[in-house]
Amino acid sequence: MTLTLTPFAIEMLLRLVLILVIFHVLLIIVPFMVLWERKLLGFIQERPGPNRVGPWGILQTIVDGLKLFLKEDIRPASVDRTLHTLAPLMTVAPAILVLAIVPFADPVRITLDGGEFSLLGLTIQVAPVVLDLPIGITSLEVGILYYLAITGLAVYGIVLAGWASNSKYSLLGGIRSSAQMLSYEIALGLSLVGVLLIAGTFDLRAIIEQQDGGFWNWHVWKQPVGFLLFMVAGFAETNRLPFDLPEGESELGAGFHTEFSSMKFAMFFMAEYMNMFTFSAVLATLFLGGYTGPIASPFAELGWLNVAWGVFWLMAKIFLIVSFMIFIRGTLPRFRYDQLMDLGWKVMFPLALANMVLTAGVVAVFPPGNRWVTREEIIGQPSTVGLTLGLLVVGVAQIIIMDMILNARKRRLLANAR
Amino acid sequence: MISQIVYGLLFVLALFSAMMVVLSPHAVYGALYLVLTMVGIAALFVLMNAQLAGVLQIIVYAGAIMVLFLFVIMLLNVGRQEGGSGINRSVRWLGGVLSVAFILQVIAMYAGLRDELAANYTLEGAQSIRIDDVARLLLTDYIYAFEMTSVLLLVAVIGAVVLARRRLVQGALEEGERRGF
Repeated sequence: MTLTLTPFAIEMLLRLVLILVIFHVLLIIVPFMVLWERKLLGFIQERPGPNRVGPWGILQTIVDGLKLFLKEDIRPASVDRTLHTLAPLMTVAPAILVLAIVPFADPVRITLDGGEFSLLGLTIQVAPVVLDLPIGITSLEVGILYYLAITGLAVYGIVLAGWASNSKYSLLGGIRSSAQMLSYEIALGLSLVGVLLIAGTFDLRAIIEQQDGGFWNWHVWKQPVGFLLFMVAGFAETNRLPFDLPEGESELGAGFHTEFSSMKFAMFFMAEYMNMFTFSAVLATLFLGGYTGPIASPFAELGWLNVAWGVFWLMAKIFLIVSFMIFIRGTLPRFRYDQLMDLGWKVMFPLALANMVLTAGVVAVFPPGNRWVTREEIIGQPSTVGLTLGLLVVGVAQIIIMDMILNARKRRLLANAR
Repeated sequence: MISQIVYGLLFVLALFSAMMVVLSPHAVYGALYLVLTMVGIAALFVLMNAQLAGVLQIIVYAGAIMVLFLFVIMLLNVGRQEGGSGINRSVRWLGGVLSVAFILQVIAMYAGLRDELAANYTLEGAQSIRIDDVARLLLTDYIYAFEMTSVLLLVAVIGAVVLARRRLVQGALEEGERRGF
């Protein structure tokens, strides 16, 4: 019996291995992120943090995980059974799926001479093959849109957890989270438009390649406002403090996951840290050069050392961003609900819009070299310019009319009051 | 071959969940099946090499509109069977007849076009739609329609704000009167 491995089959196998490796690295990193969070919070609050299980408390979260595995899965009598089971899964799945578009390093060139070997009585023929294997699960033309789409789906798990629990506190947490995620998704999406206008592509790998060659090439210098807005919106999307109102333990018990125990609870917990990880990875990719180092890679092109260099820098950036998120948790108090909505709609949304318009204007007048559209095409067409100006006039008129409608009665009321 | 099998499975999934939207007794489950339908259709788009359409399907329908649906259903606390009980028997019969007619129409259309479809449109031959091309078309050939749509949406948003605000201002007026301003 012989089995022939075609180049296509070899590439598929290698990619499958890569997917498994990346997935398991994510699973292994989560407990250490939790440990690091507890240690860092301990440092901020001047206490040692976990220090009993293993040296430096290093086994603490692993033991915690074991405990959660072995605990009884309690399902209150009045819950909606199907959704109570599905909700944790629907929270974890998007957190894992997002990882699919994160590039971890430059592609590596794999050269196989081909040949034959036998395994368990099976002769396997390997075709000679030379291929560049991208270190990352996939590369989509719509990369960033995929990120927005999948994070948009993450809200279902939390909302349904709140609803299915059939408890007031859980439902309040779920409803808060849907309102919060909808509000901040807008700022999240708009804050990215600036960097996408400069990059001229949605493909994450292409965006990283543009930032290669040193830290002064990073998009954060060109888009500081976009960077800040994306960061803040990301805090809200991952339900981290100061935006963790869906949990809000001081007023809602534990919010949407009050009625969950053992592994179902652990899944919510894992999803939070996975979301932190993937959000940091996307933030680093878009604004901080992704896997490129602050200096150009000193290693030979497309070798394994080059891959190690890339993975190291991406992980270092993720580590710094995650640590920053933990520091914020240790520093800022939770927002009130109306403050949260005010910040999202009245500060971040207009700021993101202004950033978008400004960037679009600058890009139209001074197009970066990588454009698929030229300056003549953007501002050379009289119809485009005319329409833009016309719509601007309509827009301003609308704002004025709206102000008149909205505030006329209020002004009258105030005048009467005086 | 593999893509055709996956296509078939996704097709069955989308159709099944679309039917369950109507058949499931609980409004929340109905909304969730609708989400599943959207995701299934998005996956079909991706298989047909239209990544942009697929992703937009998820962002707009599954990610935004359906979250609002669910939000409203949960806020109103629509219980089991409440939606279906109000429809009387004759309307139900009419719906049944109409849907059978629709299915027959689709089958007839497919039967008429089968050869042409099979010749011109295959999964493997589907052309990829580039984002650049979509953007270029939107901002050149279809710019008037595009801008008009955005103005329409703006008007809708302003309308919603005005309607909501009028009640607020009204409330403030009454409050003022009550306090004797």
